[in-house]
Amino acid sequence: MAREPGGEKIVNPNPMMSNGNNCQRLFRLLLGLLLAVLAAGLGYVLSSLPSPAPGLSKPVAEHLEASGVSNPVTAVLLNYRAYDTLLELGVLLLAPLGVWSLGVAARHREPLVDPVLDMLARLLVPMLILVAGYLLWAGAHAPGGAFQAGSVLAAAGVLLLLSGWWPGPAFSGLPLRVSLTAGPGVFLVAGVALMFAGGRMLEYPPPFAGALILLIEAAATWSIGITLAALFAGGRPVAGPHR
Amino acid sequence: MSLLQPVFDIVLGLALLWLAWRAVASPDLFRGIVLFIAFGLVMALVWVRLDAPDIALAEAAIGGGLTGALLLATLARLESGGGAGTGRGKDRESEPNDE
Amino acid sequence: MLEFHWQAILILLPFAGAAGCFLWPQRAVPLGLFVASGIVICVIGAGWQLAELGTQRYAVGGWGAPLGIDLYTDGLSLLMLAVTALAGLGISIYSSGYFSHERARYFWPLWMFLWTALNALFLSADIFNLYVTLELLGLAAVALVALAGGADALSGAMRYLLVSLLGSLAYLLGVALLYHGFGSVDIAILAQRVEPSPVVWAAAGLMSAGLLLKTALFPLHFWLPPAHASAPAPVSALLSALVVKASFYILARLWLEIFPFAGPGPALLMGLLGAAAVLWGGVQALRQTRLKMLIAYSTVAQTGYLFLAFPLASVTGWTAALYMLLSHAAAKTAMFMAAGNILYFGGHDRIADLDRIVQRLPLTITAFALAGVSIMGLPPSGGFIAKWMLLEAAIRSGQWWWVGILIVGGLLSAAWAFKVIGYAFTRSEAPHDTRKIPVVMEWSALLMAMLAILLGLFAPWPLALMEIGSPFDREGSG
Repeated sequence: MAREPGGEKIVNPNPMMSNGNNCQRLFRLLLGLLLAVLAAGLGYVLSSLPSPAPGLSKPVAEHLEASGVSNPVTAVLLNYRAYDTLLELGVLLLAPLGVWSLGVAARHREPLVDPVLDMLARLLVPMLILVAGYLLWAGAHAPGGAFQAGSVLAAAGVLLLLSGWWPGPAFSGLPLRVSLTAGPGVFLVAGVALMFAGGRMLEYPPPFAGALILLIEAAATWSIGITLAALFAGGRPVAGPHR
Repeated sequence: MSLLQPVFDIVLGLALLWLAWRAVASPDLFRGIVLFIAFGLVMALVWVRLDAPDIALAEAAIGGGLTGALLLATLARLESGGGAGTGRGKDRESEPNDE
Repeated sequence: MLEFHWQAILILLPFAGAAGCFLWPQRAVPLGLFVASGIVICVIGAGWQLAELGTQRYAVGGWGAPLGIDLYTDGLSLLMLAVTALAGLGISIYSSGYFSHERARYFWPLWMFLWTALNALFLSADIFNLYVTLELLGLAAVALVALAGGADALSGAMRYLLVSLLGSLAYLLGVALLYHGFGSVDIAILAQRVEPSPVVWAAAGLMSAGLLLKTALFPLHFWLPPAHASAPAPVSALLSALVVKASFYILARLWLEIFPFAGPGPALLMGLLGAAAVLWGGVQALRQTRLKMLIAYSTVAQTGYLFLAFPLASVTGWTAALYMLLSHAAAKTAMFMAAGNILYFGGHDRIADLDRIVQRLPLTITAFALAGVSIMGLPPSGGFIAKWMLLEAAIRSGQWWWVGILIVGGLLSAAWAFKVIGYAFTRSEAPHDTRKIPVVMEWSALLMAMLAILLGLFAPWPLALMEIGSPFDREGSG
């Protein structure tokens, strides 16, 4: 990412080794001392913990079959503590909402014309999408899952935006908002449907747990990818015809 | 080769601390951001050493890649002299219900 | 109907509302008002369930603690939900007239997310889940502050964001220490397993520091006045009335359930900081020239009263603090709404230039005066009941020095309240252009102020509700 020619160089306003006045130096020294004491205290506390530290790995392993996946991390994220993940997906929807409320996406007037970037984008973007699909599928039994797949998808999106591609106006209205909402939306609908089907909120019946988790993860992957790429675009889409 | 593992861990830990210090202390923001990206990648290695490969994947993609890209994009906007979104910089006293 | 999943709906309804308002911005206002009314109905349902069946534990996902997350309803959490619902309904009605169409399309989803976070926070019985709700709450609040635009709001929002993240980080570190010390993140299970050890002291210190930063207790209050004063008026009302109280609620829960053996030292420290907050906030409020800054410093002062419950350490003390929280929520909402009306009307909020608001905005100034009565602690108002109970607790436990703080704090509040009302009668030097205010804005301010007064007239009913599940009776049991 090259700096635009002609702009002034921005200097770090608070480099740690400042030649500034003594008051600032004293403050920094005190702060450093406080943090060192804090670190020492934490080190002492951690060394006093019993080892192996008590945890919940046994209950997690016991219920793993009923959870529908064989990766314990995915089981915790998408089944035992699915409610936390629902709220986190809400945070992920909140972030572009906040960014959009502040300004309009600045589309580069003259996108960078660079043969290396061009070739790299052509090669990498399809591969990144494939890798994202693989990570999504593999999350059930190996390291992977919705967040990892979503972030790889977002990397593909960022690469596309860097090489000058911009989504058309047809996508920037309702379809974009639907894509952003798809992850939390599917999760929410699943939670409510399960509630009215006789269980508690987000209680997956064991025969369908695996399929439900995959469905929710797929929607979440798409949303996470679009969300992170939209954050990179840096503002709300240019005002088009309101739908 | 059981000596290699603690040595590797110590090297990773020291590298993290050094990268963090240099990223915060460097007077050039561009350099600081690049060091921050390197910090994210070393952090991903640390997660692998702590037996948490899922977090390592997420850290490498988000901490190393996306956050770095966002920071560099912000730096580019700052250096080009303001860009979009600073037109509303003036102080308003009246609550803007008329925008 | 009694067995219905009221708690789950309380969380899912505003979440769905947020997604809906985001997808269909043209319908944002009716959808938001619909969700607000729905939440009030659900709170009534949950209250009925609580009254009939006692405290409720709802195992999300069917797993139950320690593997899953529990939602716990007792008198304390229900009362917090109720005040959020009432204040939220008032603010929703006010905002329907306040924001222009362009701002409203971002305000409503953000506000619905904030409400989701508040409801989820008050119902949660799991310390990691509380962290997630704190994150959602903080981010939504920051985005709402920044909605005003302008350098003041943006820098206030940025400072708020950084402070909020620092507090959350300290809290999360405490959660990690507790989990690795005792093998669970559920509050009830931790309450049984916890015993004094370095891990617990470190966790208590870290979590308290993080939550104190978020509650803006003196001297960690520096971020509050800029953020609350430069936000749009309904957002300022939300922040002062509800958001800072949420972290206080978590602090109270943790200290009452997990750290009851902490002894008098830390409690006395919090009480002293609270007293300093009352004095400092009151004095700073008197020095302000802008109305919204004054009200923001008043929030700093009133938050100090809440921390007097820690050294008082009795059921009366905690009940008093909770009642103070309720009446302050109603009164502060009304005050910020009144300030918003004045700002909208005249284009500025300089106290010295209020220019006969009494004649031109009579409903607004009545709302301000009634809210001021509650904040000063004059009868009959919720604030009076709360201060009376605090006095009672202080004298009964022999710590009569807190009485002085209560009296001085009341005098300081009276000073700035009368100052503002006095200026409302005077004519200003240079008259300025005025705008007509939507009727909903004036009436919602007045209704919230009347709620603060009603809390004083009908005190026994909320007080009885607070006792269900006896959340305050567990301290000292070790």
